[in-house]
Amino acid sequence: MSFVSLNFGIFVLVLLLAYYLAPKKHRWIVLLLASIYFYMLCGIKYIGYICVTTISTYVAARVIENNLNIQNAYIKEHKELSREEKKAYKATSKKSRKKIFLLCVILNVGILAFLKYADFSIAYFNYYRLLLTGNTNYVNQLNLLLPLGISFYTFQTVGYLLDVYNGKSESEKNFFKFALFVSFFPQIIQGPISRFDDLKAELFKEINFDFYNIKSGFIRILWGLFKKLIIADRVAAYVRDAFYFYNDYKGLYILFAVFFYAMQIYGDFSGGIDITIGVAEMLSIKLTENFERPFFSKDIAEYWRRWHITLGTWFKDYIFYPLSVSKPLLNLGKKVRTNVNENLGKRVPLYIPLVITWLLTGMWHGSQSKYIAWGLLNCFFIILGTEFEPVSAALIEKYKINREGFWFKFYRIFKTFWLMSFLRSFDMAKTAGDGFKIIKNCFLEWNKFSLNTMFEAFNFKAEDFYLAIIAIIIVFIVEIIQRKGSIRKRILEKNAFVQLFVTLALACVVMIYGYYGRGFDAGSFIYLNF
Amino acid sequence: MKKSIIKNIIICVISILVTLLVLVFLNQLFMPKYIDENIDGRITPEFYNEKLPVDVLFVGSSTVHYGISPVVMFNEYGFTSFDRSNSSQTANMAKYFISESFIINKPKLVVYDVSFLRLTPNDKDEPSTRKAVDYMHMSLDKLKLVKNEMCEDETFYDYIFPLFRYHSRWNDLKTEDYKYVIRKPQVTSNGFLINTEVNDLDFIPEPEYNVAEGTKLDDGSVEILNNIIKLCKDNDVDLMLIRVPTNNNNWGNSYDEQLTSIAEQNNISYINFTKDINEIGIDFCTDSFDEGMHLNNAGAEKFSKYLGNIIKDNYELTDRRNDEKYVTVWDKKTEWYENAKANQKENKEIK
Repeated sequence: MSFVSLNFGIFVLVLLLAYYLAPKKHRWIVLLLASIYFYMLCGIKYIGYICVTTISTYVAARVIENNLNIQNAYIKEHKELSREEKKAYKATSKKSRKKIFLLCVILNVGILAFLKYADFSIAYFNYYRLLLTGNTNYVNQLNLLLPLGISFYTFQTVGYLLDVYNGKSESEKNFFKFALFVSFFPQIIQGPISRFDDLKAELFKEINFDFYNIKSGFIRILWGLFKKLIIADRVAAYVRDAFYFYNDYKGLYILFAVFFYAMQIYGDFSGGIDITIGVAEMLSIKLTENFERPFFSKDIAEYWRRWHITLGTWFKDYIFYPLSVSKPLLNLGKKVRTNVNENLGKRVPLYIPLVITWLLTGMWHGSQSKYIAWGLLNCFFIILGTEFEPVSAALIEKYKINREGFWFKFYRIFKTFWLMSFLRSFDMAKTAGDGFKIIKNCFLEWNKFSLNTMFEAFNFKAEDFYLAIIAIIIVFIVEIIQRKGSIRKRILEKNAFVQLFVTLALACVVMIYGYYGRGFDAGSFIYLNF
Repeated sequence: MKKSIIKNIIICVISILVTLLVLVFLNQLFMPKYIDENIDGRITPEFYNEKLPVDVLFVGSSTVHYGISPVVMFNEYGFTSFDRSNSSQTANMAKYFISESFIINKPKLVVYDVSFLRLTPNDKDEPSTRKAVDYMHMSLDKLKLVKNEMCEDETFYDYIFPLFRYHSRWNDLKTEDYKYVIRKPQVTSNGFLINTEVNDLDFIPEPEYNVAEGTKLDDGSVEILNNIIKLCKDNDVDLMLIRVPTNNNNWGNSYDEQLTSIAEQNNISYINFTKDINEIGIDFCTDSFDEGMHLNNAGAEKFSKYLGNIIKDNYELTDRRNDEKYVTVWDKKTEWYENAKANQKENKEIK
């Protein structure tokens, strides 16, 4: 069931009624049933995967916590044990917990990796076997389809298990409550990736119905639909075709595609997240924000702190930090500091985890080489930014540039926007090599550009082009205003008729100008496939 | 406390009403008006304007609304009628139109042009369904019609809430779309579409059916026809099956034989009037505007007189030409018909 379908609207309406009519104590059961129903509608044959992840993680977390409790109780009871004996006991106990933890992580990440990379590996195997041995007996691809939201719920459960394993979180005793944490329907399609403690507090709280949440959530949903249906889906066909013919139509044709693709993916993903958060808000559940006006970032590191925030923090907390404080890397850093260079030694425990994190981020986005190149390029530019910071600072000092001045800020935002947009275009390339060619082609043959050719050659209607541009400007203006605080909050502080007018106007704009329905090539959400 | 509850209720009611009003307005604004083109899409809403009983309901495809003139029939024989047809009207559409009319304006006789029984129930096309359904009032028949006639890639809601389908017209809205949001002018004469154009041809060959001998109508279509027969019987309404004269080749003698057999079994009549064109006096060169596919106004008047006579002789219908109530209304209809005809001829001459 797509988020941008009337069926989904009816589903949410029925759910809201059932949810608020149910006793407060049992509302979460309504949510669990709705989530199971939603997941089954989206593909009943894949329900086995989410069941395996839910059951295995629940059991593993319970066993790990019990083991920890037994260990603590044993030490408490046996005060006579020496420090070494306690240490030895703890080490044995931890070992068994680690086994369970690793077994569960390997199982779940293994399922994800197998489904995501099996065909990719087979293709590479066939390619290199042909190259090296000339053998043309290809191994057939498995043509596996990814179950809905597998990346998101796998990351969420692995994070939960790691928190329980590290003693940061308590395990959930009620299996069904844990099942709701894994399958909570608004966020299963494309996140945000919630932390157990945060989501638990929201899912199981018992609060009164507040019409404010309904209104606020609804406006958020409409805003999400605006970005998804008026911008993302409107430019999708042009973007697809322009990237496909990047060798035939160079210069501004492809540069427009780069720009529109940045807008498409932002409209698509942040629009989807707006719908997710809006639906949750109508249920009086506050989800973690996943975007914070990323196109106003002044450098790449900041951009990634504001784009897909929950994935970034997940990688930071569960990959980057554990790696950077891991013994082998700290030791390596020490060695480099003593034997090679002090500065390089400092960077080793920082940059190696950074490269690994970005490699994994790239791989998470897809199995092809272009995604790996994309991840590593992001990493490269982050490191470049860090390394050149003293140089930039010196230049700024020398030329007496006002760091807080409008034009300097504008320059940094503009530079970051285009850099990220160029990097994003790797998504649309067939290979990493094509990605570089696309960027190169952006700067060729500008004199051959004409808007009419663009409209005719790509069947991109002029009205759609101008409408997309207007909608993008509106999004930017809204985001500028948002910096001073929530617009929705301000609207909802006004009288009922202003609220009605704004909501109705936004709904009408979406209904009229949205790119949906028969005859339109509106796609599903891009991040659904990640 | 009480005051604030009342205030909230008032705000909610006003909000709902305003929302509904805006949605109804947008639906009306974006829906095609079917006034300057595709005017058979206006037949359905004009049927609802009929305040007096309709004695005979004609259903079928475009051959009906170009070939049967209710005004001629009333003036010649005194019974009232309406062409509840639309281009490429499928058997299912006919069935649900008949069923709906039994509730809102029950006729004594249904005359069904069976030309489109040659299609199977799977032969669906959106424009025809749209023209049939867009201005149809909400009813169980409408919902069933949509469910049966929508194409695989269409959604049910698009028919219930047409804005979802027509919103893409935002850049194509014309003056007529704004002008006719609320009131729409009359464009049909009881469903009959006046066309005074004449072929510029000296000879049109007789139709040669291209359906192989022995070919039967699709079982699905026959099943729907049987449903129509049963529906009429259950409602005590007479049914007559016809084919309006046309030289459309998409037909077969075996279809005629099959339909004659079905009609005999059910004690109803079936007449393919294409075989009687000489007796009716129809010459496709002068009585058609598109090489015999459809009759023009002259052809329709000839055929309406001929068919009306058969209906008058075979079915018990009241002659209403002495009833003041009917005469007043039908005089106006006749006047509109004659004016429209004259205007069309005049416009053609100016061109």
